[in-house]
Amino acid sequence: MGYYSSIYFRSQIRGPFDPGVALPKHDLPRIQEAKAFSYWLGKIGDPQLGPLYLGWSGTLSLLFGFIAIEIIGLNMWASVDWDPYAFVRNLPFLSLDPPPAKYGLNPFVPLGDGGWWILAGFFLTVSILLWWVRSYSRARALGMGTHTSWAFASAIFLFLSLGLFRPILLGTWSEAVPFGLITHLNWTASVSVLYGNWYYNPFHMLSIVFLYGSTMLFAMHGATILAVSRFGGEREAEEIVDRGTAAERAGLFWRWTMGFNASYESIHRWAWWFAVLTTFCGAIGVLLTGTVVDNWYLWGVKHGIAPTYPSVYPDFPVPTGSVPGGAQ
Amino acid sequence: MTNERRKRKAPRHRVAPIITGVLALAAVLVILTVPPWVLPPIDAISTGPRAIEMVQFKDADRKPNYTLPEALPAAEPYEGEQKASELYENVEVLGDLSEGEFTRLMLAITEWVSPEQGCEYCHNVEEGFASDAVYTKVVARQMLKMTRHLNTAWPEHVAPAGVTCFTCHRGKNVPDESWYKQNPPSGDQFMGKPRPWHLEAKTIQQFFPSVPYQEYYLDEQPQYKIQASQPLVSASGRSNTAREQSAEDMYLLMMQNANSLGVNCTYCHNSRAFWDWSQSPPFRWIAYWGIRMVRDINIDYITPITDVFPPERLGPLGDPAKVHCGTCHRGETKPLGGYDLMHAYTAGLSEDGNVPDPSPKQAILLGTAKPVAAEGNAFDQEGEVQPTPAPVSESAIEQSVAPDQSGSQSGDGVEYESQTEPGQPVDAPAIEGATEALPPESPTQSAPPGDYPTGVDAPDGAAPQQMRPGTSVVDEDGTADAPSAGDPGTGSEALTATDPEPASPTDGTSQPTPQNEGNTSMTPGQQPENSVGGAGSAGEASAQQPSGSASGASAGNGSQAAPASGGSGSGGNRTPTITVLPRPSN
Repeated sequence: MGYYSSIYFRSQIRGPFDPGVALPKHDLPRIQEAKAFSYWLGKIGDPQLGPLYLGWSGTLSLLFGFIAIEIIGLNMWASVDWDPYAFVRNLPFLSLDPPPAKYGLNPFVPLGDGGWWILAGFFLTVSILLWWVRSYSRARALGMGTHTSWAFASAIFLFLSLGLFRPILLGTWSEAVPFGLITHLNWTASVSVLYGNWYYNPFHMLSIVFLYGSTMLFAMHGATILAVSRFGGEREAEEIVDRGTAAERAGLFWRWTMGFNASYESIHRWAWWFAVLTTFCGAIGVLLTGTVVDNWYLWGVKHGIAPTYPSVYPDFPVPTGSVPGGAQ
Repeated sequence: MTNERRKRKAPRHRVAPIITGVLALAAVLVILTVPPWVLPPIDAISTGPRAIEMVQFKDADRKPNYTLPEALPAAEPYEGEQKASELYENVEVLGDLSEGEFTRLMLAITEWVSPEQGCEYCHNVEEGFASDAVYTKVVARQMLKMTRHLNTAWPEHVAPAGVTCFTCHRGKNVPDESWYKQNPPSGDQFMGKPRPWHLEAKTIQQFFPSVPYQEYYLDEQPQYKIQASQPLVSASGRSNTAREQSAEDMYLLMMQNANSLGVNCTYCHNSRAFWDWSQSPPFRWIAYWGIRMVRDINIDYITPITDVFPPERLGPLGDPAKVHCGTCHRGETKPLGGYDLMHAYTAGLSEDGNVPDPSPKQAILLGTAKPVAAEGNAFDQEGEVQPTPAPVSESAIEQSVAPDQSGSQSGDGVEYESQTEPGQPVDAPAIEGATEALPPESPTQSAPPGDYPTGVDAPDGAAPQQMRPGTSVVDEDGTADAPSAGDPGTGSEALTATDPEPASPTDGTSQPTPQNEGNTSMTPGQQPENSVGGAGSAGEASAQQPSGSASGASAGNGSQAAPASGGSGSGGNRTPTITVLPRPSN
């Protein structure tokens, strides 16, 4: 039985140009100029490029996203006095920070003092939400389910929890994440320390479980399908409905290996939930931090998930000044 | 597939693998050769209980990039030798030195600081050596005062090796690592903010803003609550921790400190609970005083001579270059590997003619080392898991104190013995003399120690939370190990080290005594025997700890602690602010 492997084969499957299905009436036309065949695209997927559907949501999403990136980039560039060399060299360390705490939730912050951050965040959020609309409307236009949209929505929920919901709950924009490569990592690290070590945050734990679980499921599923592609396993969609020899073998493999096998349909449900719960649990953990739980380590101690270890250090006097009452 | 098509594609298939292969080979070569790889073996030194990864990594092959200067031959005293002040004019600091010692020190300083320019770097030879015409002489005098002060008053941090000019200068006029003030971002510009990063940065550390330096090493130290002492936010729904942007400055400062010392967080902290002293390695104590020593240097010695410096030595905001941990440490836990060059110049480089008193540090690292050996689930309220005393691994103790005994050359800061110059005999009498325990200074020294459990074991509010003796700032919510103000021995309210007396010689002797017996006066509700570490008492402690750290702890505990902590401070303003806190059994 013949089979096809996109990356190893010298020949490519390339049919006549497929214009796609007809669109609903109220949709804009697709961009017919953007169509071509590409040998290299064929190596990693379908060689046909286009036509692309942009629509009003896609157009506006790209526009707003462009504005957001411009605001962030120009602010970073301005912070090095418009020096192109310094901009490139320092790029990982450049940052567009949220307003300081003194402004609270005031949306009208001087531009140079975090106002640009608010604007960038606004445009980026609008852009992302419009992209979500696009993912939803395109799925509906094709008569598909909207699983992609809701998975994307889970990621957006985490994004908004970090940058919008939690700052609102805490009453200040200053708690939000800055735009910047190193600086957003600094934010992550210092927030983890600030709230007593986020590794003891059970929602962080769950998020990690689902994240690592996602990669494992992805590896298992990808490997299974590739392994049975010689039996036509890459025609997954057909085998979901009508089990062929590939599906039988793939299922048998896992049943022999671990006594249980997912089906061609259920494995995707597994993967979808794992992926969605990664960001969803993360968002819950974010929203609880500083609003309900102040010190996750002590929370872990209280609930018996933080073990004690033998003390191996010599007793030494603790400087009394080191246990201040905080800012009084 | 037509013939034409095959022809067109065929060459591409022959060329592409070659191009790809060449590019891949080039990429591999670049990756292999360009970055400064550290080849194995890499030493891993674990200092904590097993399984919690309190590890420091060290490249075994890395050699220091400096040459240790030899101490000049000792000056031979002779009959009728005059003092420097009698021979020379305008000798303010070193007047008591004999002529020979004075000249020897001057030569040494020249070698340490201005080996190229020689005497003329500081002295106007035409006007005479007494002239203060050259600004560097005024600076050098101030730096001499500073060095003498550090060696005498800051044994908590600089003992046993002590510091010399070379510790920072390393043969250069200006030490390589320093910092200037930066403009804080303000909201008045249309776009962007002042450049906070150094364009000429060569290390990651230099990319980061120096705002945290100014906050913690110059200005009034912020008293942020970095970590809350309650699991949940307060009843009002407000978080007790600092704002994220404040905490991030602390984070940057700590990362810069760690980078300066060539260590990671776990050298001084158990990273799962940064604030908890009871889980911290003792090096945190040394670093704690080091932070205050840096403040002392910047506030009392460098800032006052701002006007002396010419403009080219000043930063963008007109301030002189100031020190941070890296100015001396340069990536080593002990600067210059702990080389005790200062011991050869005690007459000039200390205020009392002695080497720095090693006893306070010794007491920390060795003297009081009687680790509490208790293990078990302290929060098992049901008592299902009986805590049993666990034998503490001897090696773990050794490692936590002196993991680097074999490689004495590396001087990685963890062995205690002072590093001596290669080939030179140890200055044993000097060390012995200095390690001799000194009698207590006064009865006030035995001011009631803060007999409070700390860390998670502490009932809320039981920790001594006064910022300085004599004050009674108590906040039941704070743990927040943000560095607070104050010098080791400065009981004064002043944040600056105007009254630096950290070298109270009794530190070393008074510390060990109140060890585990000291907890008989624990806060109400605590069993006095629960720090003995026995299984039974540990069980007691375990039953209490949850309530102690639970959110429901009342403010009453805090008010109980207030007078007590005030009392410990009222023992005298001059008492050292360190008190012995018995380690509660876990």
